[in-house]
Amino acid sequence: MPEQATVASMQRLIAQVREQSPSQIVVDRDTRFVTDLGLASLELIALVFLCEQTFAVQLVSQPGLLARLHTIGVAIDAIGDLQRAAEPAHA
Amino acid sequence: MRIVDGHAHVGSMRFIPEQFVEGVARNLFAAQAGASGRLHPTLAQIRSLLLSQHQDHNADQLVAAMDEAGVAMTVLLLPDFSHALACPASLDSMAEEHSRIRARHPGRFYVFQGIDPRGGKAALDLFQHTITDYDFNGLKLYPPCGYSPSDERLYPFYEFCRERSLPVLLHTGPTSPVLDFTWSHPSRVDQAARDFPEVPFILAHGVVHHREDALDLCAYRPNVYLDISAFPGILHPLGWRPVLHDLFRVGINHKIIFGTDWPLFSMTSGTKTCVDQLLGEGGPLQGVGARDIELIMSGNIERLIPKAAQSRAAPEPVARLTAIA
Repeated sequence: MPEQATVASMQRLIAQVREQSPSQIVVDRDTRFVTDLGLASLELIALVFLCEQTFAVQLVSQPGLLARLHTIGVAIDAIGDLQRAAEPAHA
Repeated sequence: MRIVDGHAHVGSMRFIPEQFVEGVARNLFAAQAGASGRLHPTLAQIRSLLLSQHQDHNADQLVAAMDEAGVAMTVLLLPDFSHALACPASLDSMAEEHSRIRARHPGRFYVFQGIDPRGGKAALDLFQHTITDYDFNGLKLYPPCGYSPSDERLYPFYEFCRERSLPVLLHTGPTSPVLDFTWSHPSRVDQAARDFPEVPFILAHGVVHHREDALDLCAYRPNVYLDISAFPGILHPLGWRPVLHDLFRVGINHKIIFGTDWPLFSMTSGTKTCVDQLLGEGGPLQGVGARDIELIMSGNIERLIPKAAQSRAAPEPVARLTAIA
């Protein structure tokens, strides 16, 4: 399940930003970065760039994405879309 | 309930000096010295993220955020930075662009035109032109650019606002560190507010900075108002909720204007989150009377904008839209 793998990776990255153990971070698609996880602005910025590095996608340059990037679900959908768009087309 | 965002900007680098954004980025970067954790973004990353928030040249993303949050209309503010910083375009062309953006989204925007009193007669001509020919709806001042809102060079502008019943919105409090904060204390407007009692003066971010002084002015000057824009940035040990909770219970709800300061905070809060957190269960407006909530969320700002302008800002026939496109 690629989405579950992405969620698990996000959990690890959030833990890395927060300097916590991944087991301390509980997330699902509806989890909000600021309201639920309490990420501060700088932590959120760090997470965005960590995601770019980990998933090899460009999030910052996507028009309007940052203004919608409030939940885990939006993030994993965006990452999935960008990864699929980067895949070579099959005949 | 009708919701009007009383304070927002087109999130576009076509209207804001790069130096301004660079200053904000440097301040955020400096804040890392006190931040927990070891994973900190670089200055370049912070800058690129801020720049990416300013690529919405047609305000399409802003309108999408308004739709998501149930915001009927937004006041777009176009500050004049031209006497303090290098600007990406002339003020005339930026005003024209705002007129075009409003036509692209009929019935969604009021526009307050910024000027700097050092612009003299040319600035007054431009301001009058935007009101008369573009149907803009108010005056925007940015005192940290280096002037007092009670500077007598502004009085011809206030006289015009008085004649046309237009509100004046002025930035208060700190801003990008490339500008001068000493001009942005709310008390600087007191003389002008006394001299022009018929002109409404709105203290932007009045609950975020210099709170007690802003509240006193609102309570004791009949023509002084405040907007709560940028409230997620309130510096308080318990966050913004208790501050707004108290604000809505001191008897000046007829002076308080909802605002977001879009595109700032769009990443961390977002318009929908702002609205939901204000109005939702446990939010600071819970328990406030319905009439007061209506005033704060739209009634106060729309009372200050002339009725004729409100009807002109209403949605226009499709034929005109097609012609513009």
